[in-house]
Amino acid sequence: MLRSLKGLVCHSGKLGRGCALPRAALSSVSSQDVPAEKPRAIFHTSESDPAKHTEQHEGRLYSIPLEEVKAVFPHGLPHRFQQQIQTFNEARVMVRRPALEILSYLKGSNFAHPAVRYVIYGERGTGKTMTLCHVVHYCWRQGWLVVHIPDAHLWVKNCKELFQSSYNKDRLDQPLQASVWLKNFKATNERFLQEIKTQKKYIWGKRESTEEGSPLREVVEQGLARVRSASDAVGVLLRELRQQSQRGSCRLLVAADGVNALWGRTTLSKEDKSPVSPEELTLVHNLRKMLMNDWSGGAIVTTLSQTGSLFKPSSAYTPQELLGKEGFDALDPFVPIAVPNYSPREFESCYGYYLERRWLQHERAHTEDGKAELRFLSGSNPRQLDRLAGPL
Amino acid sequence: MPRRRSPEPRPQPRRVQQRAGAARPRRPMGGRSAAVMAAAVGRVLRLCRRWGAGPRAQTLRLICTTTAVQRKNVGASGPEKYTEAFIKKQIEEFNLGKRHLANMMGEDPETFTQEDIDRAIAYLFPSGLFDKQARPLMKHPNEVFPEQRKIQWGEDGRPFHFLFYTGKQSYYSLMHETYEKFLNVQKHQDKLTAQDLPLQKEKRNLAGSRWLTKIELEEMLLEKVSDDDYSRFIQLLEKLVALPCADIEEKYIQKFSKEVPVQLQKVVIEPLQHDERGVAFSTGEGKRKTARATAVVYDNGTGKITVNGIDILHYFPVLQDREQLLFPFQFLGRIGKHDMVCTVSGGGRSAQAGAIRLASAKALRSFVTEKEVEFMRQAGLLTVDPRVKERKKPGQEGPRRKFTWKKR
Repeated sequence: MLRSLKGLVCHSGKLGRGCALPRAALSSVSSQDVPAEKPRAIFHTSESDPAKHTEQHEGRLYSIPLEEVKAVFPHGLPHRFQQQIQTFNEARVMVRRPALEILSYLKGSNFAHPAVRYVIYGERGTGKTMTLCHVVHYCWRQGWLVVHIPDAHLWVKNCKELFQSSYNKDRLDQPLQASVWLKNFKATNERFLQEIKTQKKYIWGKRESTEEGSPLREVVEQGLARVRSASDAVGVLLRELRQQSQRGSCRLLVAADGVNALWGRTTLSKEDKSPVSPEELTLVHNLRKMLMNDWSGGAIVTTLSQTGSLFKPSSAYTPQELLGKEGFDALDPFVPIAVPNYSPREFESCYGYYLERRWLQHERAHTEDGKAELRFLSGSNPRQLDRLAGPL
Repeated sequence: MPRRRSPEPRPQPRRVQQRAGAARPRRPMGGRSAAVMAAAVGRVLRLCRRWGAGPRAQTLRLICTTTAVQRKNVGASGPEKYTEAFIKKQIEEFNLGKRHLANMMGEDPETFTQEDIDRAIAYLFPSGLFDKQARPLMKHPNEVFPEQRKIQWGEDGRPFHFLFYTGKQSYYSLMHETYEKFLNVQKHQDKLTAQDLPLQKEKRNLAGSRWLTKIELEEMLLEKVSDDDYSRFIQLLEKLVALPCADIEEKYIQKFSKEVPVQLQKVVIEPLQHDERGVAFSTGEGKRKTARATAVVYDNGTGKITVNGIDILHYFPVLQDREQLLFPFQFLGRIGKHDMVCTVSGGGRSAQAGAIRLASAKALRSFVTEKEVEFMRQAGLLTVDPRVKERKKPGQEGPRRKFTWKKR
């Protein structure tokens, strides 16, 4: 029987990990069931470019080089996954069917048309965020400009400072969240910020302004330097990017996690204790505009999340329930992508990876019975499996 | 003449007989018994010790009627407390009362059984008392008044039995009788040997029988038997049985032996049933605390479990509950081989998990060999957990917790 002790090492939630081990000299693409001498080869792929992932890679783990991780995902990965990266010293993402589906759509989509919206939904802990990260990695590799909002729920709760927006009297600013996001955005998209130029002149205050034609970097710097105007900087940024991608100068990917936060309720309140609705927040307002499909030249991939959501029952996971009527109408039409629990193959793959990295130390965990127990107790749910394997 | 009084109907104190021939000073009692007794008349109650130990003979004692207080060796506790005539009168009254009762209830007096009497009394005298023995009852006097030794001496004071003055007349007479049988058997044996006939040697099957216990012997003899005496009697019986020709006294020996009931295998394991798809399945029920569960375990499955239509991962988010469900399958090594559909109600999260565990273990019995069933039983998978919430007691805050003790 597995005893759950409080493990000393926390583990980042691995929804799926890709192992592309350069050590495995076999080409994983072709091999089906390699005999036990190189068991790791079954689970791993040496394809570290998501563009080349096909159904053959399904269930396998590919690795992302750590420098790329720092560049692409300053703020996107789930917390447990980040811890796992630190523990194992490598980042492995599992190639799963929903991600492959989105990638195939993206590859085949016509960017002259308005941006298509994809909504990834599923039960808790099944791998929605990881799927999103997989897609983000692909787009980044392809040279797209990635606007990645790690968790929209962070913008609607636990905000200590709310200021009245200078741009629009009705709205409220969130300087801290905006500046944090700008910093991460800069880390991801360094190469583009110099190239893209602004279309308009923006006046930030009495003395600061950004001229037309100046690179976007300046907008970002402005936002970071003057925290008060960070939210407006974000709004400006998003607007500019929309226009640019419409014109075709860059491909834009808007990746938003926990998008149901934008249409729900907030836990924030104004000074007179009246509740704040999401559209009164500048960041949310701008993001909503971004998620409209009135621009072209890119794609919008979003995820629903119940975990951080406010005032929603824990059994809710469908788009209908989590988005509510308002959100559903706003996002309609969209392509829903369901993310299920692990298939038997994926489960084997994940289990094999843990074994190979010597994460499962318990003697029983190495046996077939132990595997069956893990499968039963976790219900093939990635998060449960990760939590179970933690103390072992 | 020994003084007699007819005792009142229950509840009533038992009156004690004064021994014949003993002249004791009367003592006024002072209104202790039921209302019937006239206060002016002093009734003397005496509880005489059997052989009239001096100072102790003066003690007065009131004894309740209920047989619960008088336990096993009632017959041996002293000389007769009720006379034979008294018992007879009680029996007559009982029968008469029975017919009256039958009349009242509109039933036929001839075919009025004891169960009918009980039902009628429960109907006419409804009682909310918890103790069943405290409720009104109407039973045959032989059951109410315990069997007691009759008075052992005649009117002239001369005892009937020749061993009366040994003090344990029944015991010694029994030993005497048994030894007589023993000698009988030995004589028979000698006769057979003399005639050179083979001694019958049919082994008496002692496996399924036991001797009477000391309490049972006391009840039979209606007098107290000490441990020593009892062991001597049993030794004598054993010696008797050990003789080869002991079967001629078989009937006598059987009076002192009892059948030990064979541990019946009351549990019948149901065979597998098959549903319309041809898949074998089996049902089981389980309970724990207030939760009741039924489980249907199907063969050829993938390890999928559904509880009340909900997946186990959603119904039991806590790992501990899922571990409980896992246990029977893991014990038998059949984790991924069965599907299960359960329904459960009542109780809390842990109780429901325990109930389903029991139900699934019971259902799995049909799929598994006898030996494994025995293993399961020893592992405790098939036993109903008897622990329930303990009741709160008055004067305490909870079942065990007392109120805060304040010094002042």
